[in-house]
Amino acid sequence: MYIQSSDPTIEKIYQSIIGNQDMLVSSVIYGQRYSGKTSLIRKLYKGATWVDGANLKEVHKALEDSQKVVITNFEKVTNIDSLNFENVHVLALYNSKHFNKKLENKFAFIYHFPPLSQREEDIKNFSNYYIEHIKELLDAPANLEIDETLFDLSENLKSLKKSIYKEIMLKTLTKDELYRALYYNFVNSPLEENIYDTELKLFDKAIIDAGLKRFKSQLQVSKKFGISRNTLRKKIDELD
Amino acid sequence: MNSIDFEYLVEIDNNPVIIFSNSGKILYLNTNAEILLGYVNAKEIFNLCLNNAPKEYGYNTVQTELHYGSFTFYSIMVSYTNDDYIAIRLYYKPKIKHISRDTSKVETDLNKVLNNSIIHFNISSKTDIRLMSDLDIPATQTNQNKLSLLLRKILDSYKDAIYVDINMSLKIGEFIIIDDKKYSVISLIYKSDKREKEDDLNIRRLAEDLSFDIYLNENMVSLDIPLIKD
Repeated sequence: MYIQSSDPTIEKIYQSIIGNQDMLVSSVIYGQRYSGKTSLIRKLYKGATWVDGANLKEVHKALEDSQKVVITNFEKVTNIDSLNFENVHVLALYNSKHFNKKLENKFAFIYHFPPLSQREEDIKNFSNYYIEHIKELLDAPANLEIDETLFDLSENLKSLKKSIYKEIMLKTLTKDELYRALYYNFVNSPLEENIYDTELKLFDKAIIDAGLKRFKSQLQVSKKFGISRNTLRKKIDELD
Repeated sequence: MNSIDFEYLVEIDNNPVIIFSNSGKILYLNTNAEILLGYVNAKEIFNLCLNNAPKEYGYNTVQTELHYGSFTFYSIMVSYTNDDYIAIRLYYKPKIKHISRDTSKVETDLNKVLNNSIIHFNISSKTDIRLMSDLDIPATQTNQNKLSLLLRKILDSYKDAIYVDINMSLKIGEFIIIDDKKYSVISLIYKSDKREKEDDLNIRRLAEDLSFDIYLNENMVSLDIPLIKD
């Protein structure tokens, strides 16, 4: 599934690449991994020969045999100077947020693909798409709210999707699934001394934090939970 | 009817035109004269005017071969109509050069390559590009990758400029002779308020690699591109 970017810079990059499609020129797009570089050009270069920069032999062969070549993971090419870009249309994808000076004289066109964190419209569009898609997949209620502050953009689209998936999953766990999640967690924990007390704190903290969020005051929480205020305060102090 | 802008016509003339005061101060020079004065002292051209001026008001055309840098002229015309200023026009002689047969040369629409370089430049630059181009320029045989790289580097040298004026046109009456064959010349000129010269060595090397004549100064880049059709 391809989601069209709404970012003005990416739109310009796209138009520029389209303009060069039928020419024997070399271009490189550099930017962080999972920022959407590959998705952008995948539909434009369906008929091209795709090669991985990690395999220099294959790259050389593609440049000799094909008219249109896409080189992925170009940062893994060990000998850039050995590549001959004459009489071939080349598009390289370079995973790095930093510009490599070596590319300067090698490629006719150089594009910097901005990271997702700098593309407000794209964050909105992609997160909406992922939320809808994952809600459907996990049978989550349509009105389930997702806290945007929990979006993880550290690895662009990959971490965004992962953080949304985890958040929806956590909010829709059944008691049985929660039991299994705790069981898997405990069964893999090192069996240290006082493990029972330590792990119970996990449960205590979750239920007290949730109580405070719902009932606002310690007085109300102690009433609802059926424990004294002193016991509740003691537990909160222990957990801090 | 609006008055005809003669100054503009002189400005874009392929041949250098300079107007001096009677003390040798430059009062006007067109773009090609600006390029020429990168290779020859203005005083030398002023002396050329004085030595070849007509005895009375009017003009005098002289057939003479002159060499300045890579430019050769076959004739000059000196004219004055009062005692305050004197003008000179120098006529280019066709250039003779040898261009190696490059197997990477393919039929190329220069307007398209130029436009693509501008679109690419506009992705990350706010510099105002003002393009004047003859859209009827025929396709020429050249290396598209090197040409695109060259044009990208030229525009990059203007990344901090406020504006860039780009003018591409066919040079009327000027030719390059390659292996006894006569080819027309396309002039591509970039002009602005300022230019970064850091990458000039690479720009010059690329232009020479493409067999283009190139002139670079503080705010201008001028390319002469042979129009090779076969």
